[in-house]
Amino acid sequence: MDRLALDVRNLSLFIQSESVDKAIFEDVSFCLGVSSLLAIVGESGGGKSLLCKSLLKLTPANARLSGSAILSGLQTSIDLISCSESEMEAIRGSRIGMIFQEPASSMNPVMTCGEQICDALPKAVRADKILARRKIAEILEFVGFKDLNRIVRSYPHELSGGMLQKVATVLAIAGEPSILIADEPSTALDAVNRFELMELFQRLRNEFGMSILWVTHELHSALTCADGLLVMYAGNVMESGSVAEIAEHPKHPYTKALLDVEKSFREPGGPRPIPEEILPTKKRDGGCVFAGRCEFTKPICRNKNPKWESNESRQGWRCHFPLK
Amino acid sequence: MWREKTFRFGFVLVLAILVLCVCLPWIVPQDPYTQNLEEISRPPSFSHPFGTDFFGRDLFTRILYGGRSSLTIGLVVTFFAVAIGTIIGMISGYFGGRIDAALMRFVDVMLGFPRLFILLTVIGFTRPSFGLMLVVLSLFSWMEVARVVRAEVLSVRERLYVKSAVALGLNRRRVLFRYIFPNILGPIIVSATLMIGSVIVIESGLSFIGLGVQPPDASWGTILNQGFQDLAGAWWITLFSGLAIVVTVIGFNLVGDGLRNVLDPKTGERES
Repeated sequence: MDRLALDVRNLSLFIQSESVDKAIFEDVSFCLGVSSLLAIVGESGGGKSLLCKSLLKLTPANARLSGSAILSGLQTSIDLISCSESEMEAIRGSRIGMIFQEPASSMNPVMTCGEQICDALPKAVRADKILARRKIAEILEFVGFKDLNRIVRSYPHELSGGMLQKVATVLAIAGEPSILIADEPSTALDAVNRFELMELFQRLRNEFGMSILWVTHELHSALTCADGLLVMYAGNVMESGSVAEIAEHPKHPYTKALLDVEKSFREPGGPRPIPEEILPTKKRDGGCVFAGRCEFTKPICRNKNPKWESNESRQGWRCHFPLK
Repeated sequence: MWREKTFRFGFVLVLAILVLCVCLPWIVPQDPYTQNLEEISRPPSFSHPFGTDFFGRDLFTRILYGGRSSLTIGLVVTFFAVAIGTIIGMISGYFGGRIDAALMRFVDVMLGFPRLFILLTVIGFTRPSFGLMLVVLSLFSWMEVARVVRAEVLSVRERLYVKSAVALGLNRRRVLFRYIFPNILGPIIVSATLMIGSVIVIESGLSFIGLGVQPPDASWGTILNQGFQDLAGAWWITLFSGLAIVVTVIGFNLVGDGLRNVLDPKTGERES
């Protein structure tokens, strides 16, 4: 991989309750290369959204983060995890932008879209009204809006879901960040809007060299658009690697199960889901978190947490019995 | 909003009273202080619709002038109390932690004081005056607003658009004033409207026992007090000043209830 934009090492998030710390995700490590697109896939409740929020330190007050997340800059690199709140204020928006899951509720209902976009612009631009207006028009046009005045004057509830998603994207990129975190941006969109969003991602990468961390349920679109893939299950990274490798040779049974579910939608007989509900994250060294649902489970899987292994082509997995 | 009956009725009442109190002293240019010893204690008649008092002053005019002071106190005190309460509630709710704990204990302490007795003590030790009453009432009326505002901030700050504003790199002040404050304005307006009525009642109570507005200046409380001296002989004094208080308080409370119905999506239709 070439230059790195973000290097996350052993990142863990614990929510502190009365007696015990509950792990939301543990030992998550990944690299996000400059102008690459890394997709994080996995079922709901796997800790993906909180992983995104953790990178911007938007976690609840009773949460505890450990590990490191090195943000590479032009001159210096910063560890996000050890940043103070005021340092984070300078990073949010201007170095890391974020698109939230539901565009409708991620916008202030009493401010027009124009005002909100203006708030998201870099300070220097915001101070100059004419420059700000031109900049807003420029970004709106970039994401594919035609009737700019209407968008600027509209309140969020006056726009459709697809348009709001675009405005939310505009908000996230208005501060000209080098990294964009998109937390399931396409979940509420129809096929056309989804396609446009994917296309927009590609343009952001090509024209601005933006690196994108994309959380999604849609394994299929992840496989077609992304470079890298990170498969998460119950707060653990099960497998990571390049899209080509994983699509061809999944090492972890969970990855394979996900691919099979996706495939089974297009087969006669309809979808075959992975059996059983998602299990709560187990304690450390309590065995593999996927053991309860895995079709290859052996006794050791229930007793010992598998170690992280990787091969020469940077594909990594966490399984006692990786698939051949 | 206009379709909400409670609000409409209350609004008309309040508007009528305000218009009367503000404009009518110019339309009916009778002086509230001029004593006419030939017309002492006259019952309501055509020339004096509410009758006259013990000094022969026209009661209708005096009640309107009294309304001016009662309403002024109600509005000004509410304004300051809501301002104090909003600031304290927003700080408490947004920053949380120790600041929140300290401020809320302070609110508890303030609420622990019996408000009326504190007012009596403070005013009793100094010379009663209009300004003093404004200050003391404001300082002892903001606590409920602070609690309401704190609760609202606690709920609004967890909304996604606030998180999203933080994620865009906005600083705390901007988030608080542009993203949280406009979204809690509804409950603030409702509690302010409801407060006006209660302040007017307290003001009338204080004036009634002679610690509020001082004669010959009129307020509904002082007029009520006057009427009390001869309840059987000059019943109209008590009746009309009491009615003025009741109607005004009901009016403001109806407006407040109506606004709450309109602004709370769960209990009423929401304006889009």
